[in-house]
Parts: sequence; C-alpha cells; structure tokens
Amino acid sequence: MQDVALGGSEVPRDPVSVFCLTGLASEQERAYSLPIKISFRGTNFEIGRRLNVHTQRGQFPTPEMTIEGANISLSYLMVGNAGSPRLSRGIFQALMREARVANADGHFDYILHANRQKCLSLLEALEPHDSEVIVTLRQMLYFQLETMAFCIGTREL
Amino acid sequence: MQAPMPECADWNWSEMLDAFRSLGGVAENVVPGRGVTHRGLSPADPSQPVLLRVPQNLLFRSADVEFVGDGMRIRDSAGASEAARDFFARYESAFSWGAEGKSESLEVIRALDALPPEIRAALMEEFDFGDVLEGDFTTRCQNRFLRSRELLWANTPCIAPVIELANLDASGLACEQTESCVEIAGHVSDEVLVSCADHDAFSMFRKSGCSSREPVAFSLPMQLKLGDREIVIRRNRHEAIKRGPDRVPITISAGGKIELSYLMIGHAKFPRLSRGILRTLLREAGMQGADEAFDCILRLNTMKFIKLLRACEPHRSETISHLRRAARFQLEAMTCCIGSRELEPVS
Repeated sequence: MQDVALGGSEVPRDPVSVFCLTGLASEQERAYSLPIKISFRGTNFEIGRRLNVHTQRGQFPTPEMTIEGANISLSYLMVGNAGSPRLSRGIFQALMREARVANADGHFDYILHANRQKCLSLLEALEPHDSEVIVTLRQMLYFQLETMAFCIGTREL
Repeated sequence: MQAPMPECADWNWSEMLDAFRSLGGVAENVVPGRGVTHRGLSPADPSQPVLLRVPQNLLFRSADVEFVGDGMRIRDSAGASEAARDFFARYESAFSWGAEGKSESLEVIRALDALPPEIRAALMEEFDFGDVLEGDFTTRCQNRFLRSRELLWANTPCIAPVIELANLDASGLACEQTESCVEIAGHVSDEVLVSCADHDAFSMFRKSGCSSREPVAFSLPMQLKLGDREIVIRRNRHEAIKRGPDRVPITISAGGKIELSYLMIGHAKFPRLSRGILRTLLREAGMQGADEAFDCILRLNTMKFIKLLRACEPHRSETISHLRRAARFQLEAMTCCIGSRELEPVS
C-alpha cells in the first residue's frame, strides 16, 4: 500500500477518497461504494460516502442505516477489502437482515455492478484524453476496481 | 489424388448464389456490402427481410479445411460431395479468403506482431495468445482467418459459406441452428450483422484484432486451489451441453478436482446465470463453497485485465486502443453477475 499523508485523518479511505484529497492514485486496502441511488426489486437504496458516520455492530464499524418504508439509506458501504475479503458482503447481509430485506445477495451484487459500471464508464470517458491528471485518474480507477475485486464470499458479524 | 484448385476469380455474386442454391442453400435479398470494419453483407432491398440458410452439406468443419497455394479447399477425406467441395473452393477464392480474407488476416497478425514486447508477453502468458503470436506467420494468418469465420454447429467449429461474410455484432441477427442447417433471417436497415453468442469481447479481439462490446464474458483459462478443492477452467466453448434453455460447460470431476470446459462469468441479458451455473455444477460434483469459488474466479479475471490495462498505459497505437477497449468491455460484461438461479436438471 502506498502511504499517503492525509493530515492525520482517521476517516476510512479508499483510492477514490485519496484521489479527491490529494490528487494521487494509491492502492488502498478498502473500497467504498460511490454515492449511488438505485432501485432493485422494490427496494430503493441511497448510499452515501460519509465514511466517518458509522455505528458499531459487534467489533466492526458499520454504516449508519435509516429505513423509511422501501427506502434504505446507508451513510456508506464497503464494497471490497483486501485484508478481509469476506467482510463487505457480510456487513451488507447483516444490515439487510436488520432491515428485513430479502435477497441481500442479489441487492449487494447489483450495488457492486453499479459501482464497477461507474468506474468503467469513467475509464471510457477518459479514453481519448491524455494528461498527467488523466493518467493518474485512470490509475486511481484501476486501484478502485482491483480493491473491489476483494469481495469474496461472506462471513457473520 | 485430390483435384487441382479450380480457377474462379471471375465468378460473380449471382453465379455463386445460383451454385449455392443448386446445392440446397437459400439466399434472399442479400448482396455484398462493406461493413465499418471489414467486408460484409447488405440487404438488396432494406424494406424486405433477408434470409440466408446454409444446409448441412454446405457446413464444412474447420478441421477439414486445407490451404493449398493461394487457395483453400476441403480435404477429400472430409466426406463432402465433389460438388460441395468444388463450390467451397470457388466460393472462398472469389468471395472470402481469396477476395479480402487473406489480406485482412495478414493485416491483423502484423498489427498484433507489432505490439510492444511486454504486451505480447502478457498476452501469451496470461491470455492464451500463444497460437496467435508465436509460430510460422503464414500458419498464424490461416488459423486466424478460420477462427474469425467459423461458427459452432453441433458443437463443432464450421465454416458456413455466405453467412461467414457477415460481420459480427452483438446487436445483429441471431444465428439459428437446427440439425440440418444454419440460418439468419430478419429485417436490417443497412448492414447484415450476425450476433455470435460464442464470443466475448476478448475472444473477438483475439479473432479480429478489433474491439466490440459483447454481452457475455467467459473466464480466462485457470487452475485454482481452494482448500482441498481444485478447479480447472478451460476456454473450449464448443465443449458444451444443453440443460433446458441453457448451454453449460462439460465437467469432469474426481477426488476433489473439477475441470470445466469453460465458464461464463457475466452476461448482460442473463445476469443470474453465471453464478447459477457454477453453483449447480459444483453441487453436482459434491463440492461446497461455490459462491466463494465464483468470487475468486471473478477476482482473478479482473486482476488480469486490469494488469493488462496498466501495461497498455504508456503505449499508443490503433491496436493498443482496441486492446484497451476489449479489456474494458470484458470487465463490463463481467460486472453483469447479479444473484443466481438454478439450472434445469440434466435430461
């Protein structure tokens, strides 16, 4: 992992947040979902990137969740973790159990799909361009996609 | 002794279609066209449907094709009639290999040969490009031509004259297959395109040197150990069986090891199918942990394509652009893996 100084911040970070803060592309252990609003099989998800807003569940910090009918808001969502590849899906499954939403795996896959698509769409948009910042942005997206690939299996919280 | 190659450069389209029809083929409303990338087919009258049907006797196994001098023909031993073999040789000379097929193949192989050494090495080591990038130049051009024109019929790579002239595109006409023929039919406004379910973005690059967005992605060949289990994945798309509406790989399993002839890892139109196939096949082989195995396979594929994208970063050329796009399209199709569904039982 590249060590990137972020002013001593304790806020969790991923390649996207490091790029936003420093303009650098760096490998990070975790990837968090991009901010998205999606509807899938009757449930509307709004996922933010307030990475410092969390609730403790067992030994793990997990996102803050608010539920209003079929609308579920999450302050953030981890979508990949190189050190604990089973954790991302495990957290989401625990949250969905709490929210009484069935087919958590399908929903999680859809969120992963939406995130990967956003990264790939941005790569496509960058394709015709070449400058230092564009190259760095591409590198950042490669890191984000790589970290998101560390989403393997699941575990109980 | 096999007959010499027929002289046929002066065969025109209408004469060729007459011969095609006399051997049982059907061709309605199609004329030679020129697609965006390579030669192709067009409707003679765009207000009318096109129809092309190639009967069994004109479906030639790629393995039965031989190149002789500047031409190509079907081996005597193939079991095809003399009339069919004569048609094939004349057709190839006038409209396919002898027309632009050969020069196209030379161009593609030259472009791939001109890739930077580290990209060529990555393609050979990680992406199974050995037969495209290594060996005798002429043989590679001939093989590339066959790979780019063949389709799977009865799980066998075959050349279907006339249909093989159509360019491939995911939005094209479906290639319908029965036991007795291969057929495309429908309305097209401009170019006759054929959709090819057997190819993903990366295999399209491999066969054409071009990038095209495909709805499906298949895993790269790999071997992985997960605990006491071993999973071997090949990329032999023609080794498949039907289970209900789904085409699934052939498996061989024994003693904690399973070998799959190929594995789909994403499909934009059937996003639950990829994981469903692996779950079902591993369960039937008495193996657990299919979800984790599937995630691992996805991850390994993702990492390889991102590594390739990184390797392409410092380079600029038309082939590099196609390669980058092909890798991106492959990753895109791989994202289409959402949920899971059961397969129908083996009939």
